[in-house]
Amino acid sequence: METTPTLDKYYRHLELTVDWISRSIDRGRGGSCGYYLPPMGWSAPYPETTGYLIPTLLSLDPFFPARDLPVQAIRLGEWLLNIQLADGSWPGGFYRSRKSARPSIFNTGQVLKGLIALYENTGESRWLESVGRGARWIIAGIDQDGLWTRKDYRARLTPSYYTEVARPLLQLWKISREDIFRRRAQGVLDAILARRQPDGTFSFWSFDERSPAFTHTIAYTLRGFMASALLLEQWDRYGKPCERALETLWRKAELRNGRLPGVFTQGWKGDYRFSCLTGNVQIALCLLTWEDRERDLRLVNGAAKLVDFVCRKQRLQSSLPGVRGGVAGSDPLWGSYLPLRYPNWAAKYHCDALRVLINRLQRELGDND
Amino acid sequence: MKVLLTAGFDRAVNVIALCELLSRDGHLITGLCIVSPFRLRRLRSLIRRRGFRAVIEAFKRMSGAGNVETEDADLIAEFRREENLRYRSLKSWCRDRGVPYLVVPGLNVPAAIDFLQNTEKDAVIYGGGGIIRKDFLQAADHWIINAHSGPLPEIRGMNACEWSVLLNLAPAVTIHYINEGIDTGPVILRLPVTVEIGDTAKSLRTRCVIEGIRGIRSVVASPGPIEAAALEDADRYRQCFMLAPVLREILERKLARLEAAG
Repeated sequence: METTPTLDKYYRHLELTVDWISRSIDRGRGGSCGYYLPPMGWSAPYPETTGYLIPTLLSLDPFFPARDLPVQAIRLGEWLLNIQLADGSWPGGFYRSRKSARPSIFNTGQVLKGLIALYENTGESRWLESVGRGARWIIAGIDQDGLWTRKDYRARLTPSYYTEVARPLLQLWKISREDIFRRRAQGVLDAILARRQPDGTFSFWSFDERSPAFTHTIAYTLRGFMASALLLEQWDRYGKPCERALETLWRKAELRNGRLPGVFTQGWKGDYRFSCLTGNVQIALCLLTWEDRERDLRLVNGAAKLVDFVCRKQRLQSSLPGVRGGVAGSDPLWGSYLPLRYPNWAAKYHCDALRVLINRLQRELGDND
Repeated sequence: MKVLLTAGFDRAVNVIALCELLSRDGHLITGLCIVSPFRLRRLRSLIRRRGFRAVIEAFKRMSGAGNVETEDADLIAEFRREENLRYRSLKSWCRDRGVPYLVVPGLNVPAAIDFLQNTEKDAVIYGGGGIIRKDFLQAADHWIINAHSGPLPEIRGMNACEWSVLLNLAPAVTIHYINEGIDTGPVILRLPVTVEIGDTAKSLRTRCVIEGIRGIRSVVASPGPIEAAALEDADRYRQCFMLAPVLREILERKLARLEAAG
């Protein structure tokens, strides 16, 4: 396979990030540790991100066939089956014991992504049965307004990044053809779509309605819409409304050589004192997803700069096992998003972005033949 | 024709060539506005956006050292020989000719706008100096001519000739008027640039610069008013930005394959 020096560099970063994820699983007591915090060490396992690490591991199998990544993915899935609550949900936050577990809609949605990937990969019904129970619990909580107002961790409203809950419901609808999942998912998407502002932003796309939005939750919102649009084959309805935001983020990424601000306030005003590295690579993924439709290398250029920035900040050599190959929450390390921590979801999205970028660039090299 | 030129730095080869060639053609260079690149704010911004390596590269290029070892050095030398260009500094060219010049930190500062307003001119030729703002455009009555190294409206922005190849468009130089947008002004002339066997990104870019000099020369030489066609839907095309390293590598592969294919 043809390569270039920068592509080689991407492979190296991908490999070391996968190493980091494997270490987070080794120390995760069945799941994957939520983060590494020097000098405290590894945190407790985090069901939400353990869930969406599964499709990442499965998709990386062709890159590292000798590593048994599908076996690791199945083990994570089995742990998730074991901790599923009686009502079908999964708990939010770090998992310490069943006694302290509190159900979470968003986290349950993210776990579903992992179990759906396992069902698609293995064809085993145990995954799908568990997904069905989780999905039914999710849709049972939906209000008249199409959202989960007063039923989740935010008292007054459902954040806009819950588009990422609609997505696994649609994935399940594609498999089961039970139309209730599609209808409920579209209800969620439509309710959030009504929050779109003329400048392309969405109200309440942050963790908290009073705080500016991290690029992390901005990317969740956009990717939830885009992935749902593709599943429903309704780009004009759910994908197109994201294009203004994507164009703005792409421009800002280009103008700052891949360093996006950590948060945006209303009117796209960025706080450049820090960068949210997870958000950076998630936005790169959004751009690459969009590019798959647009077929415009200029978008790939912006995505490459976003990924390059995160690669520059990644430490490939360190005596600390949770620093080597990990991706910090913020740059600088003490920035507002997960200060001093190396979250497993930053590693996950870095792997996803690297994989999609490598595949796209390899295709471009191949096209030149 | 009375012409005022802008330059991004003192040793800008394209502007030196334009000054010499337009003078030889009988045009009157009435002033030069040279942007000084070595400013703390500019350096800070460059480091933040593109890193230290970019600063070193820029320094080499602007001080003239960059051409010594790069693959475009032959092309530049050949062009200088062909056109018998003697000067390497705009300031010394101006001093020898008694042409007034102004060194400014940027084209949009009041001093540059005053200089523009107080200099007699039929046209302004943009030879570099950063993005032009409304005040500068107004002071020039919107008669600012630019040679853009890509086909317009399709390839707007930076690294235009490189992007033409990457996006599978025939490379071209477009002579156009500058307006408020990025490379969205009315087009005067479009000149094709052939990708040649052995071309690298740098050599292709240099050949575009040389073609741009020839294009501007022919536009200024043409009798009567310079006509231009408005670009109705230029904004429809996404702006191009500096190539990420990996895309530059892919571009070089693409050019190398062209060589291999003969």
